[in-house]
Amino acid sequence: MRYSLFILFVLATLACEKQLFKPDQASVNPQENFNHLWEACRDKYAYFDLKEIDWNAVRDSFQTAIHPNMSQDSLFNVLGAMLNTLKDDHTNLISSFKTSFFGVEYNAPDNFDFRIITDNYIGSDFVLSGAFAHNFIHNQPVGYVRLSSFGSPVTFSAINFIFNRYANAKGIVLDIRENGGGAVSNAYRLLSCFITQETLFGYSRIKNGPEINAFGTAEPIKLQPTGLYYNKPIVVLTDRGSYSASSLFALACKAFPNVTLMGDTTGGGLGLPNGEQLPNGWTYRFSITQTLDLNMRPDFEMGVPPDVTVRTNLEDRTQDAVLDSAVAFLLR
Amino acid sequence: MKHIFSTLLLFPLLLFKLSLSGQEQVDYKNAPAFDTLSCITIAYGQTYTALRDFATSPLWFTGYPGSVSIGHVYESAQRQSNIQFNFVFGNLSKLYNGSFSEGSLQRFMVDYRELFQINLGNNPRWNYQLGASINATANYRVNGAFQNNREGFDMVGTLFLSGKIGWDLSRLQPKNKKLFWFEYTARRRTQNLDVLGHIGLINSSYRNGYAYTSPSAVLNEDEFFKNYEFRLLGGYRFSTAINFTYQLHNKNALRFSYLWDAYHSHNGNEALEMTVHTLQLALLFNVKK
Repeated sequence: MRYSLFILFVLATLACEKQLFKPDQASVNPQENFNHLWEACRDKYAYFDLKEIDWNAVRDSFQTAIHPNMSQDSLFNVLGAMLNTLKDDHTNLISSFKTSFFGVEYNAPDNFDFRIITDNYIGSDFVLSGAFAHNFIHNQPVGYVRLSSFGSPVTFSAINFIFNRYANAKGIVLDIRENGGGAVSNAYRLLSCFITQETLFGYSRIKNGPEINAFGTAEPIKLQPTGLYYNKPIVVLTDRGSYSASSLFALACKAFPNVTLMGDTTGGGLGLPNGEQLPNGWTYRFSITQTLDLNMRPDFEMGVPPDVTVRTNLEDRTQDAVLDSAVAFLLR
Repeated sequence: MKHIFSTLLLFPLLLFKLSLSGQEQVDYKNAPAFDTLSCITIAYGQTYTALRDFATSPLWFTGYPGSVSIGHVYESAQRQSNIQFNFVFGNLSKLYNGSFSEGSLQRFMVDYRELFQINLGNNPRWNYQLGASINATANYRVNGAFQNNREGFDMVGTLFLSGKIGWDLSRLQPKNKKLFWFEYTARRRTQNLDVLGHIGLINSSYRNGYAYTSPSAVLNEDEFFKNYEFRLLGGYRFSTAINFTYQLHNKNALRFSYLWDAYHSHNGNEALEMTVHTLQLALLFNVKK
């Protein structure tokens, strides 16, 4: 009895644990991958309501393109196109051979060329301070500061250097046109140098259920002052290429009395994207939070409008109308 | 699945039932086996680890992380008391359909166990114990392929019903033996084989919430556990161990073990599944006076 019990127990506990778990779901089956991606978006994407997207209709539309023997490339094209109906650059499908994207900035006129700035305004001897490129604008008491990405670290020492360099200027033009975003912590670090007291600029809420409007409590987004402060006016230049953390930056600037937004509406992308994987190994992401303005509205997901709308004509290589307007605003 | 579950569930119940029906009292005090151990244990093991977190991927990630443990064990025929601190560290990866991704895993585990003898028969070479274990396991995982879901931290707490069968394999007296034409005297030795099984009675988990992604960065907060959810009940967990212990003449001991731990965090679509197989060598330093 004891021996048989002993052997039975050993065999039972050593038995393949696969039987304890759900079956392996790795699959290259096109239909299974289509279903997985569609259901993941259905359950977690945050902006169906705002964008008035009928996700069931999207499924029906793309389902017809799914066939058992379709190639990997064809499947990728179908799934990528399905994600692009979300009109959201926080939405990507990533395989080892391709990455899908929506390209919101290409749905509006180009509004920025740094070469025009260097050739006509700041010269090629501009100063690099960490993530920033900056210089005085020729013959003007105005500082121009270019920040092309929030992906590189924004340091207090660089900010301090810039604030000191332009302390006697009339103001600073901070150019975040075609800044596609990066780490939101970098945006917040810079924004915290624009305030002297705790400042509420919006709210964020996260999906907490599969229903379209299932969100958790909207929680305030607050910035704390750091002691660094520029006490002159600041003009922030934006365009449709200002996306994600840059849009969030623009949204926050709306709460600051000493900051003016100028240029074009930002590209949006205020939702926080996730990161998941399909049964065939490809990864994807889409927004799972909503950022709300001070009126608790999510509308700025579609883009944060400037206080002053200005567009430039890039065919004229001698001037940047947006920058000209900003300088005129600071010198007024 | 049903077969394994029922077998594992029935095992401790069977022990319990047999203990109630045992008719003979055994004089374990005079039994030759089961030297009492009171030892500090230091162990190193090599694992085969497989993890699937449905919140981020339906695919299994596997690897061979290392494992180190330290703890204290008290073992006698009447009782076992064991506390272990275990750290598993390494990488898990998945290559499928041309897509490769790899992430790191660090797994911390604290396990405390109390087992007490039950009488199932009159053979002093066999020992049966039943009791409970409390286990807290925490996984910290980083996989850059999952972008804003790159970090995963899970805590799984389990109250186990635990059982042990001990088999004393000691040679009590020197014995003359012959191997082919060589004659030799096999010396006295103390060794035993234990098989332990644990069935999770209370399986709790502390995991990321519905959307999995932490919103703390957007909220300008430094709160790692933002939107985490605690589930007291749900899922299942099984754990087993086979230990072969060889006592040295200096009263220390070596223990070779095969350990298996498998759990499923809860029954939702975002469940975490993990299994760890470990081959381990432990040094047991006697602290008994």
